[in-house]
Amino acid sequence: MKNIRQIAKLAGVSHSTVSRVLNGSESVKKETRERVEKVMAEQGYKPNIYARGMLGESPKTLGVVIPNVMDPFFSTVISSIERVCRSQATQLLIAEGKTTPDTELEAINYLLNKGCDRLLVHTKALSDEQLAVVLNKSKEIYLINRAHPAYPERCSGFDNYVGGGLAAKALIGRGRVSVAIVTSSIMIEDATDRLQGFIDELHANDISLSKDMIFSAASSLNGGTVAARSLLTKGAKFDAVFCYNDIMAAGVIQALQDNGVNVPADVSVVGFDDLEIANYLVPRLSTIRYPVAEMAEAMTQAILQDLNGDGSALASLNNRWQPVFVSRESH
Amino acid sequence: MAKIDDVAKLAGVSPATVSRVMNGTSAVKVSTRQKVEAALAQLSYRPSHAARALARTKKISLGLVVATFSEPFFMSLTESIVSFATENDLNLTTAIGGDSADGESEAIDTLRSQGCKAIVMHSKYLSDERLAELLNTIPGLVLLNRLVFGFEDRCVWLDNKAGAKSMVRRLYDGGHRQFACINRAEKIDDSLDRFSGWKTALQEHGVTLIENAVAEADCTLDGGYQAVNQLLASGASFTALLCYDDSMAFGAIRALADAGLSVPKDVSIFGFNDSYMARTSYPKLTTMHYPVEQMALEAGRLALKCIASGNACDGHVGRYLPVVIARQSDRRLAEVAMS
Repeated sequence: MKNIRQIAKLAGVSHSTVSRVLNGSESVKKETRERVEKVMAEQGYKPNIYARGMLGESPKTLGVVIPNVMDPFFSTVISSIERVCRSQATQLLIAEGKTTPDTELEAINYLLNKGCDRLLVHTKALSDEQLAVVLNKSKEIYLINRAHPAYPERCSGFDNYVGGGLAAKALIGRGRVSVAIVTSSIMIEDATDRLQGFIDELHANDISLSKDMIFSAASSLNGGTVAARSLLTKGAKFDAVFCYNDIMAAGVIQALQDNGVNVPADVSVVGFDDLEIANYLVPRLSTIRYPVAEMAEAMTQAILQDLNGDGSALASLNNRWQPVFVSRESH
Repeated sequence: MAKIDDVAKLAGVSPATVSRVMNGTSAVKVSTRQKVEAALAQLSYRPSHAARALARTKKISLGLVVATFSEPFFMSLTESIVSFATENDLNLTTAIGGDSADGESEAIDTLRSQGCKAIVMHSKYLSDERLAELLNTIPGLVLLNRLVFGFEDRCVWLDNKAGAKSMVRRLYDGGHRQFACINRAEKIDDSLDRFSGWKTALQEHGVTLIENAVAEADCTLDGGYQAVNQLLASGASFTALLCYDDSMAFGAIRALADAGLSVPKDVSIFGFNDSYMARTSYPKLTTMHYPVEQMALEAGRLALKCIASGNACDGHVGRYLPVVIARQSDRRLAEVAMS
């Protein structure tokens, strides 16, 4: 991308004239302004957000609270937010919530104290009651991947219940009847909804599920491995595993294959999220597509528009995204 | 009454260093601090309260340039610098360099305009010449993961060549003689140095890397997938595959599986970085560990040292060596194991 000096050179004006045009200064002749604007448009020039700060217009800042930046699911979220912020000349501050109520509140307060104009929060540990206090106190906070009953207009969520049902349908469609579940040990809304949707669909097909076929572990690769090992250790008969997410599914597949259990010949595995790696695992992972990149993008766009005085996108925000089953090789 | 300049003169340091000692900033060497404290005592220096109050509120500003916040590698790097800044009571400003030389230049301009004297920069796209210019004009600038000749003492860098050689050595010792490699197509220091390390090490072991055993692509899962398909289409025959990084290695495993080849039975695969992804694949990747957290901390410390002492970072050695993390994606060939 061209920088301000190159724009100045192409327009045949000084670097400070370009700054004045960017600042909307009235001391620039109309004809000069038009020439500079034309060059900027031709070159696709977007002023660097920080450089804009330098020119006297203070850049807007979006704060984001995310549970854990190392998890591929959350880096997908950050990647979308970062792209929108860069295209809209907005600064981005990120704080890790680290999945306990105290640390999540700490991250929110940290970003508020840093003077963020808006906050987009992905919480795992705060209850609806705790969140109600926060949301009521600070009007500038929005929740991603969560549906708060009292503040639906400030949330964008996903229909996890329907997603769980789709996973069950896919396994039943393969004739699987002895099903195990590997779920997150943090039983927040998304985990319980996925589980409930899955179990209700099994019941609708007269398939029972005993409680001891549900295994909880950390929502990580290692958590998946640990849960699958406990499943094998108990010697239970099973022909399918529904996993809380793709990363846990990757761990489940590793543990099963290490123990001579072939996926999908012996056991079907279905994940949740449809991360990029899902399509590259051996076998390729069948999963529920969770449009988190799109959700993050739409929500960030709407918040930034609102920050610039146009609240229309925020008012019509999709707060219940729908899942799709992606059929690959693992089920 | 003695003035701060007198104290500085007696201690043989700058007045700024005297202030730092009085403010209790940690960016002062112990030996320097002792000299200054001795001079303060000798001259019975008492700072004016107003000046002290002013000085106390002024923290050192540390700037950080990274390409993005959305890749785990840069998040680990940023996290280390954030905790470093917190521990040392610094103001931290970060700027995103993006994926171009202009973006990196603008990020540096930004940080300077915000008063950052100490800057840690991860640069992929600026030329060595441009970086040398910047290092000349900004005494507190430290490069993370670049080695610019003439400024070795202000670079904290990973010896990619040595790492690449370790990969070849492990596979060669495991009995492999037929090698192929997939590299990042973009010509940055990392890709050039890793390739040069592979090539040199293979030559040293008397193995020739034939032309159709080298493929280049994007540094992504899909890039790795495409690169292996390219190798297979060219008829290259290999038992060991050297990969630019873990994401390319991950895509490579998939492409080999699609061609009916299993890892490590038919092909041994070696990644680079030791990212989270390296543990996600099946089999788990054997890879080179990139000590990014440790390097980031060192870069932060070095940047503070540079602004505290002008340019007296002479003799600092910022070279880091990647080490082998052995997991499941490579194996010793049977005939070697038996002999």
